[in-house]
Amino acid sequence: MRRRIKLLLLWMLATAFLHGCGGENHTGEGQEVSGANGEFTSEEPSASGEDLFFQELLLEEETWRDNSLDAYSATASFPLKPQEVGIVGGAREYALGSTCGAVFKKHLFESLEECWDELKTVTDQGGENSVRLAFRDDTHNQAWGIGSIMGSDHFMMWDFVVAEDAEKTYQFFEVDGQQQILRRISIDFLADDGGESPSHILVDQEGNIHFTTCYIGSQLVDDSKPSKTCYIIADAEGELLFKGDCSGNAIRLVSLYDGRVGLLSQLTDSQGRRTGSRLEYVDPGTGETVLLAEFGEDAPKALWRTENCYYTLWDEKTLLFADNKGLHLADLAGNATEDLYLWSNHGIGISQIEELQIREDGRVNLIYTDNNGDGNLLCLEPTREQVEIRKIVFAVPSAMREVYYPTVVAFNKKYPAYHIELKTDYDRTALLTELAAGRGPVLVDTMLTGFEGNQKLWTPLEGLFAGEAWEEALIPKAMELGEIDGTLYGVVYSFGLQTVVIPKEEPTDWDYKTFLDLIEADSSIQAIYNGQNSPWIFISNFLLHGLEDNYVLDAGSGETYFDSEEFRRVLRLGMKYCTEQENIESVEPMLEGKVFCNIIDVRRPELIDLYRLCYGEEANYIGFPAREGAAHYIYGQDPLAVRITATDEEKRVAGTFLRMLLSEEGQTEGMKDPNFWLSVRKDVLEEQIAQVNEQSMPTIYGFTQITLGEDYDREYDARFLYELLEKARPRKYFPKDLNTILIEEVYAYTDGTITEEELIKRLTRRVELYLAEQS
Amino acid sequence: MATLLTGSGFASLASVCDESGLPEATHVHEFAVCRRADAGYSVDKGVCVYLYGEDQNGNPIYKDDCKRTDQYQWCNYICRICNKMNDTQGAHPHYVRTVHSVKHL
Repeated sequence: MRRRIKLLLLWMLATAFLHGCGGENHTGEGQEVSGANGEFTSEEPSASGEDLFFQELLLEEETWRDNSLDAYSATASFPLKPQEVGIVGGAREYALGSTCGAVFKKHLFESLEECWDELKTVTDQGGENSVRLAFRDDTHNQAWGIGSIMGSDHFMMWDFVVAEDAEKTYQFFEVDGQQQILRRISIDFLADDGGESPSHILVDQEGNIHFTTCYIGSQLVDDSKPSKTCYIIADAEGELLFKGDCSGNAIRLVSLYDGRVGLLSQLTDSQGRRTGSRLEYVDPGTGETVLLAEFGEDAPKALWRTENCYYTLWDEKTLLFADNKGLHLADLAGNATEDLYLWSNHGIGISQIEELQIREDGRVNLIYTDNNGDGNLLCLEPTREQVEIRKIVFAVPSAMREVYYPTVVAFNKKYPAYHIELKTDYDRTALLTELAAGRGPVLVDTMLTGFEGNQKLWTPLEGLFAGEAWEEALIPKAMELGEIDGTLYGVVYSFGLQTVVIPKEEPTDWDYKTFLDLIEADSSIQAIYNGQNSPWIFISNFLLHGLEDNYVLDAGSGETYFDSEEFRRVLRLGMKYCTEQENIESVEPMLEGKVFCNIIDVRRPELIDLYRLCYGEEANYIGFPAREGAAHYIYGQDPLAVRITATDEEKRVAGTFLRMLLSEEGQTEGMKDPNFWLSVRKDVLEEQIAQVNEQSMPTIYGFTQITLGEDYDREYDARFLYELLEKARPRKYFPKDLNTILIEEVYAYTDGTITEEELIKRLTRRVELYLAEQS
Repeated sequence: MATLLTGSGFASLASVCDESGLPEATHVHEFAVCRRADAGYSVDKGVCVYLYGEDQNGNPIYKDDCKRTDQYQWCNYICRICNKMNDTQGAHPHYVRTVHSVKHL
């Protein structure tokens, strides 16, 4: 708690900075992406018009209606979530009725008197009913579990009573939709030590009670291995019909298409590895076991390997199975034959199927838990009519897809009349050509295209994050990374920080000259910095920070400094220290005095712990040399931009999505992906710091991956991060054409094609001509 | 104590890395993106025993039907700008999530 409070205080300090200090305006410098840019088909809209456009409420939430993208459509989709009260614990269980879903939750509190059980039902029409169970007669005052009764809206619950001699007696009881107890069924064949208790319950259409068992008890058990599990069938009067030992396998009951109950087992070997699965039917009358389907390691993974695999009989010759993509049909050999319902088409993120029933008319009702672990009722039927849907394409690099996917899912669920499709198969030149022609994706991750150099392709987004709520929530300095010439053209959703560390306490500041002086004076070094080395890269990394801050020219006057002792010294140092073909390793060579400095990036809070462990708590994070002294840099993930020729409706969809992406939920989901860096939201950035723990694995190219174990220090992380953020300025580059001149000439020199004097002459002539043309 | 794994590599900076036809040796790759390999692994963390309720006498009742699994995914570094996969630093795992087969938290 104290750590949390300290973090809060640090955050408050940071907040003072974040509110009081905006970032610098961009100069429009950057890497213009080459490509076959054609003619633009529309005029750039006026900024004032766009301001008004994005300040509107972009999309109204309409009455929910599923789309018709798949063979099946949902007639009902409702959350099935109990109240969130009490202390941790008290499992929840789900049951499916003919026209409703139910969730049973034990709400636990510190004292027994406060504990209570909730039964919440949601009908396929959306009607909700939540009751506090009060089965209060002489012996029973609580329930312990719930199961479905196939073909009915009743549920089968169970409880037990502990006698004075500690012996437990069990009973099932059937309740109706109003939670009235209709009948009680005593069970007298379970082990009376209480170790064997009902777990998953499913009553078939004949009234037989199928259930699995697991351990419950008042003693904590050895949690290294699972306890004994059984599959039991009792008749409607509670008489034992069948009992089978299933220990070692993960088992669940599934309803078959004809009202029978099947046993689905995921098989494991002695090391706990999954080896296959099988679906069986045990005849309650005879106890005979019939194998319905069986899969080994050569079968599709969804049928045996994945967590919580689910399949059942759709008819005598067909399987219905669920995987992370959707619901599908397959033959009994496991060959998929038809997709019924794909989750991503309907904005569903699924964790597992809890219950599923196939009805005689071909409808499918199910309860699934989503990625947050919350239950949802979904009622499906064959798609009967086409529903108009407006689709927009969001072009993303395949590596970034998972960052956006949760928000795309959430958007598609919230706005079923619209559909955002994530597409990843893009060629850069083809995409730029398409965009330049006024076509192509509406939303673009500019990692695919470049951003600033293609300003004419993007629509201004001014006003999209206007208003006090957004301004309070977002980090201005990070958001400004999406601006071009002071206008918001792109949405940056996460960012990184970059600085330079040296192994000495002094100096604590440097400009270009001091930096070069110190390198020159250090006789022990063999390289200047870690990473990819060449004289050009050395110059680019350390001496070129945009037109306004560099060591080679004055953009204002058009003067260059190539013909100077200072530049000759740069070339000398570059040729002496930066011609290693191998990449220079981080950390150790610098700590041994062989490398002058290291460049580091902070893209996740746990990386700060990595650097602390590598360089020590007192390391000197001096920053890059710059004209007016040392500088630290902030840079964004490639901004998301909206095609300027998109229709107003497409822009509304894109704008609404971008707001969702920067919402707390969107950022919280996004940060689970390793390609999401530091959140642009203050609250989520704070949460990222708070989530650094023993299991954190700081991972960044150029450094050995570690697991932090006990070596994490959130207070240090927070202090370091906020201080660096406060000092950081946007990373800037030379315009692409100017960069190209420098690369061509410096490379010709380092390659031995031209002499130093020729290099200086050619650079002076070409760069001054470039500057004159720009003025 | 942190667990140090072996590996080597370098930090990198973006400046030029595109399809402009410039010499490869002048390209500065920014290996800042993790591309998920089509592979991962799970670590079985055993049975997760949790408080299920309290009996009529106030005794805690624990249940052991939850299985906890840590999931990891293999990733490779690729250049943010040109998509080139890094060939000096091998695949690395990323922790994805801990799955409890029963929600009880």
